[in-house]
Amino acid sequence: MARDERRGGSRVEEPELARTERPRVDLRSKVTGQAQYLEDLPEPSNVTYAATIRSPYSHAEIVSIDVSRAMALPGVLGVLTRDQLDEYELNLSPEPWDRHFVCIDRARFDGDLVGMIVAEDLRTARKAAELVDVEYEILPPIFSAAEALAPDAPPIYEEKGDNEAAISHMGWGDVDAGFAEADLVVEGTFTCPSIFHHPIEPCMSVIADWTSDVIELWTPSNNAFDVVDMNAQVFGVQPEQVRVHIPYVGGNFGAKHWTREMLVAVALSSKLGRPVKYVAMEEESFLSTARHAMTYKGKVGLKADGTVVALDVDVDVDTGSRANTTETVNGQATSTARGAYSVPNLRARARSAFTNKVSAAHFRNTGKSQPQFGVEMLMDQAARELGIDPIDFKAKNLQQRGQGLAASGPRNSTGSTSSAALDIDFPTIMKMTVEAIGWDGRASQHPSEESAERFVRGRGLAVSLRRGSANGVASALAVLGRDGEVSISHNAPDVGGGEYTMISVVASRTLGIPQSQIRVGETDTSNQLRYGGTSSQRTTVHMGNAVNDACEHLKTEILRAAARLHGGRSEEWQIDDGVLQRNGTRVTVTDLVRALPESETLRGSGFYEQSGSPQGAGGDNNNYWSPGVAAVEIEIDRQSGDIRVVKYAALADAGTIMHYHSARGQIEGGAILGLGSTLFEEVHYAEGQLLNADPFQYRLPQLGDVPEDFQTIILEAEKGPGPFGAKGIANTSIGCVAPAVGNAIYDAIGVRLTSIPFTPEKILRALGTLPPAEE
Amino acid sequence: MIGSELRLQTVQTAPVSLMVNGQPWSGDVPVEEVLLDLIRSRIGLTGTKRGCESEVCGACEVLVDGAPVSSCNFLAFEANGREHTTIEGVADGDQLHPVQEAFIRNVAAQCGYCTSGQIMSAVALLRENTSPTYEEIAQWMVGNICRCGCYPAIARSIMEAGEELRAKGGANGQG
Repeated sequence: MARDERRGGSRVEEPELARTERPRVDLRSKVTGQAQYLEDLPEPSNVTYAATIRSPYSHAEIVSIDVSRAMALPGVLGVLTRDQLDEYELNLSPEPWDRHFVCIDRARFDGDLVGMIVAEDLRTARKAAELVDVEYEILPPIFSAAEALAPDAPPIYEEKGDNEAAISHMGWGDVDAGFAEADLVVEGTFTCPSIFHHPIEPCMSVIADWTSDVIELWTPSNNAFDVVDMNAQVFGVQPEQVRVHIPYVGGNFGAKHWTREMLVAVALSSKLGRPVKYVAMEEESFLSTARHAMTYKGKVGLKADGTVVALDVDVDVDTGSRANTTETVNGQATSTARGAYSVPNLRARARSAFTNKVSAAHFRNTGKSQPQFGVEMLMDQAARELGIDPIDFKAKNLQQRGQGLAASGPRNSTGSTSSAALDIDFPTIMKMTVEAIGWDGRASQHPSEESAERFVRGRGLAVSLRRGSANGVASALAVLGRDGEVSISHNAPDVGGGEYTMISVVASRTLGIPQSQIRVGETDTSNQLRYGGTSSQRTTVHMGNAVNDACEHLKTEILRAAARLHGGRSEEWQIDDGVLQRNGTRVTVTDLVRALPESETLRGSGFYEQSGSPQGAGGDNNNYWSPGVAAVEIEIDRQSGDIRVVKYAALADAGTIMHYHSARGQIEGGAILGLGSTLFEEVHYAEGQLLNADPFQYRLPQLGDVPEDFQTIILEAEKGPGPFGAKGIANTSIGCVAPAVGNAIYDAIGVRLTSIPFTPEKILRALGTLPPAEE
Repeated sequence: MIGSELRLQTVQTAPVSLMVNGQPWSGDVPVEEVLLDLIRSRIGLTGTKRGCESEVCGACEVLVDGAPVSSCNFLAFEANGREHTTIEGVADGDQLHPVQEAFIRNVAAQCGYCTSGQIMSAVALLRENTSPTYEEIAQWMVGNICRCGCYPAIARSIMEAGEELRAKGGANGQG
């Protein structure tokens, strides 16, 4: 293909589908500026505007709040702080750390929500927020899990008594016996700091209208029913009395969900009898969520031939000031501690701690990228110490085709350890990936120190293995309209992954009706179709199956109608490209539906459920494994410490590809998101403050950080549980980047960096150009 | 309408007359108002997006007298007398610009929030150079952040659109 030749000499062939698939259903509106996001929607009449009052301190007692100057400003309509709470039922949770939606006694992170103030216009609201006088008494903050978990650490939530937010473990075999038979023990500690999601559309914005007996909300979120259920619970109404509209979402990555700001806006709307619009500024968006910082302490026991015999891992997880995702993330940290390795004797433990930081939340590949970084670096270190090439070491120790999670023996885990069997050969897919960057997976032969060139190259390999997707339910409705178009109702927000396109493809393929006759509805919970949300690479499998089911039912109805109107039995009829056929009789679906009595509507409803414990994480809700492989070539400038990615290859197995360019975009985009955390991104706290919550100081990947030679390999190797054998692939690439680059750094300069981001400063310290960092 | 966001009384306004996508607009705007708000809230063209409001992300990019500008950091009164192109003015009626077509073909947009800015920037680049190298594209697009990570597809789209424009005999005529 001509266009591929130009892409840095692409060595990966595109499938036929790349040339034949229809464009994504959302893109014409997105490239012409017609797609509507929250801030583009027409406003409800009589709308009011909200601004927030936030703590400037990471940890402080709130002595008093005086709103008198703010309320005196003309145009100010109302305010909600702890002093106005009594009218409301505001219990989010029985747990003290999640109970209140505005600060009561203390502010627990820099940016914590003290209150919200509403005015006739936005600028008055923002001015009024500045006029709220809050008296704080500053307390010492805690910024790391290790500090928070220290025996003498003061509890951030006094009622709780300590800072431990969750603990989980997973293990089997006899770890002590395993280490006793080991010829070599390798240990390492690997750290991932907090990073921001930083979608380009700010987080948290909402239009809230509780002026009738229905709470109506417009907000960018990945999960409409999460918003419904939270509002129903907090305000004591039925879920059917909450209606959530989700327009196009300008980037999610785990950041967009229900927020305290949303709930306060709903409460204020009720109080004022007018809709409330809250639009977050970018600086506020940074205060919404972050990825969990983690420290992975691993110890691996090996035989002299490189066989792993035991692994002992402790992960410290920093959940920030709240705990709304802690159980899940902690479970993922535990179950990912062994990576993709077959470990006969395992002991893994994760502990989450409260700190005075932005609340951590789901982040693409939730809870898994960080331990994956640890285990892939540790195993590479072990291979190097044994003098075994990384690719051979992996081939020897990675989980094999047909294997499940636990090798054998007694199990000792908080989550389930049963799982699907792996359906792919890692040695094969590793070979494909390293070859895509022109590498054989062997360690580089380094020139001696004296002859060291300024620019030195290294190559790294990393794999990832995650459960297929999360548990949950999905429902959809397919209705054949009298115009011959099929409308699909659902509630899977399109957050950018091509969700609406996938629905269109699945409906078209199931029905035999062209995509041009498929209309995909927008997310609006008034249709009552439950869905667990666009996350955890579940939408193709879950919603895809629900749409497939709905369309199978609709197809049955169409075939029955054809038999009734045009003779024969329904099984004798077929639909292809929108045309019904039987023994040479041809009727278009459009003509068929027009011939039906007006009272008759053809429809089908569909449902899919993947059950199991959310803690399992490779456990009993794991109906397929989702592998990823990455190979990278980097160039290090010994003088400046800069790292340049020269070549990158990522591989995933899609089972059956629904939309090639969307799948490719997910794999490439995941890797590029991972590249940011690998090279640049880190949330900095110091002296009681959050230092870099602004777009100037928080560096995101740019086009020039991504190599032109970027190879994306999408296999259709083994069928998955999704429609037509599809699997999720969205989170297969992100977790491979940091360890692949870290291993490449070792390959280039013979030094193992143990924390991301791999900044020039760390490279120069590793090379001895700069002195070691002070602890 | 969205204009009510701007209701706070200001000390001073300035009369502004400008062209947007070939259409004239005139009115009084507060002197501190930025072009982004003028375009979105007063003129009602919401394809131009509010992102970082710090001239970093590029989501709000428009062309002012043909040059790419972050409208979040460009004062509205300075737009007086100038010609503006927004994302809504890039296509020629139903006929999309080659950059827009290439973005659709390659899925160079995922969430789409930065896309308007990416396309404005790419259109401006191809007016100067219809056969940019990857490095030239990277340098030009440094102010357009895509958090979804569509960069490989964006670079490919710009190259393909450039090729199409070369075949048509130059980048002039559209947008």
